Amino acid sequence: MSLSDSSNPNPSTSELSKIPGAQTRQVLPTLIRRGAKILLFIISLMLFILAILLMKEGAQSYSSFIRDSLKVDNPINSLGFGWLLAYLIMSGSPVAAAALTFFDSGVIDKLSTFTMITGSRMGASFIVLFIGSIYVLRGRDRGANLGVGLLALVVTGSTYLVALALGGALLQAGTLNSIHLDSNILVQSMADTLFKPTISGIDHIFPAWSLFIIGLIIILLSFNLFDRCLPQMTIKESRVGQVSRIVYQPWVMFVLGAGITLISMSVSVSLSILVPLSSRGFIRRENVVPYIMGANVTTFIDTLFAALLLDTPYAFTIVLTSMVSIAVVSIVLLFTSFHRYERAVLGLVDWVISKERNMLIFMLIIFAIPITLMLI
Amino acid sequence: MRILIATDGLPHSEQAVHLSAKLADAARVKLTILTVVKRESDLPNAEKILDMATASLPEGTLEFQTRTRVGNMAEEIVHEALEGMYNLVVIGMGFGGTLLQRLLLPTGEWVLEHGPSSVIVVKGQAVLPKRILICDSGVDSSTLLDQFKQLFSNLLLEDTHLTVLHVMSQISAGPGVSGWQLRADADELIEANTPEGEILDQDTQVLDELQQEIEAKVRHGLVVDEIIAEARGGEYDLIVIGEHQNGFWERLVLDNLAHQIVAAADRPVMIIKKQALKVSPK
Repeated sequence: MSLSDSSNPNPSTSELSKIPGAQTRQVLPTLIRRGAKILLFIISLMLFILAILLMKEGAQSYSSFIRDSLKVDNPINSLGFGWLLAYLIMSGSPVAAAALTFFDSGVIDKLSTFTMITGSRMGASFIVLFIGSIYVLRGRDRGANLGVGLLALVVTGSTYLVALALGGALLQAGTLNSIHLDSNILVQSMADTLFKPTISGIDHIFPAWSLFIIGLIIILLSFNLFDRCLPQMTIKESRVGQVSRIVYQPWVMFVLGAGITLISMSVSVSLSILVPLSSRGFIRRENVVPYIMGANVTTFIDTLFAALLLDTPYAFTIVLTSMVSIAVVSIVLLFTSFHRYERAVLGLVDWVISKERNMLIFMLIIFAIPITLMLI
Repeated sequence: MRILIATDGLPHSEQAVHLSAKLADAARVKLTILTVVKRESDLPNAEKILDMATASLPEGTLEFQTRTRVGNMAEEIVHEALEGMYNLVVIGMGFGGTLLQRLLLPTGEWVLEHGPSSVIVVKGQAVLPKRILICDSGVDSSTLLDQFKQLFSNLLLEDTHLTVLHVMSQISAGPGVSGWQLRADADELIEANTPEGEILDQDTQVLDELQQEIEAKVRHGLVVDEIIAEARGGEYDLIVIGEHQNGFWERLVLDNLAHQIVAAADRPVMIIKKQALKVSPK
């Protein structure tokens, strides 16, 4: 046996199976790793609940700041507010959860809550664009680094714009009012028993207004921890890993995007999962648009959970309306004029990344729109 | 080599008859002209259709026979193709079938799926191809090129220009991915031995045996749009593509790009069958 054989740091599974006790030694770290992931998931879930309850406690303090200082007093303002806030904290879900806590505290009405949640989704894709911009500033290729972020933004913006009108109409008509899913007493009492002492403790130490900020920081932390629990390797090893090679039917990618986002709870995380799926980090244009459309539907799952934690039945209806409206718009688009839509969004993205001037115009527009909405 | 042309007497079939005659003439093989009528009582019509078809054959067409069948268009073409062991079926676009059948699976694709041979769906002006665009997705490349070589080894004119096209519709899945390949041309990809470069390199080597002018090309964009743009821009006389995956799950989950290409093309499209009958020596 050569020296290199005996010092091989990565023996194969077949080699390991010949060594007595090696399999047990190999299984143990896997079990520990899985256990750690489950523990991490439980911690992130607990932090999420704590964050929502803290934000709920602190939201009332922002009533005059939001209404009088920021002048967010109608659904159009709140659309811009949610949009800009998502840019600021580079995530949509915490903003959507914040919208619900504002609604719970009576700071904003139901339609404004709905538009703020929609705004949060519009701004959520900015994170991919932001990271891409850093790469571009460091001299990397513009098209490769900004393409998917831009695409996510354009697809989200275009579909949510139509869903906004549909959802607003549904909400005003009260079509989904009868569908309530109240958090049951057990969940409420468990949340109270587990978190009330912590919240009271924080409340005693910090001023009331800071509870919302602390909650926002904790919710960001909980999402960050949650991202670490995702089973990326399992996805990579599955047939799903062929998304870079094969052109799937749009509905298949729609379902896949919805499914993965249901687990990851974030469109940007769901998109980032695509990077390690192929060895080169590519995905087919034909596959990515329906994937984003599907992701946009189920990304509300955490907001739906947040709505359950707040003891306000109407909060659930608002989130459900958001989900139903975007699902209807996406499915109709998928089965009627998908290819035309796909060409249009890809054409726009290609135009934006083709020149620095176009990129600048696009950036100005995506900042100008929410600012304008805030000022109306 | 046996060529079957299916005609329904309508204008689009005329171009198909012309192309088939030219192909049969080039390969010096017998041509079979088939028409299908729904009922026995329509048989006199069938004779008229066949008369029109034979009258429209170019002068000097070597040898041909006519056949009439009664029943469903697509099914009867398949029966004839199976019984006659044809290697190539040529049909005009819009040919035959009920509206529902055409919506679900156009006749050309139905014949391809159920028949034994590759199919040319004739659209636009049909001439004996001097510029051929072979679209290789990289899935089953060897079958595509083997079948093409078998069928066309006797059919190619001198100085035929063959272009092998691979469309890269990939974009970067996220920031931080090196993206030079997403803009590179065929030569750069071949030189760097990327997966696409290897496909094109192998393809050109296989086609070298045909001793024609061969070019490898890569386009970046949506697959169907880029193929159609290349076909129009390069003024190709024939587009050659592989058939859609036929397994149950593949048909359920994979997009039928072959169908979309046939629908969007304005010139003849040849769809190569994966497990087609072998072309017997002359």
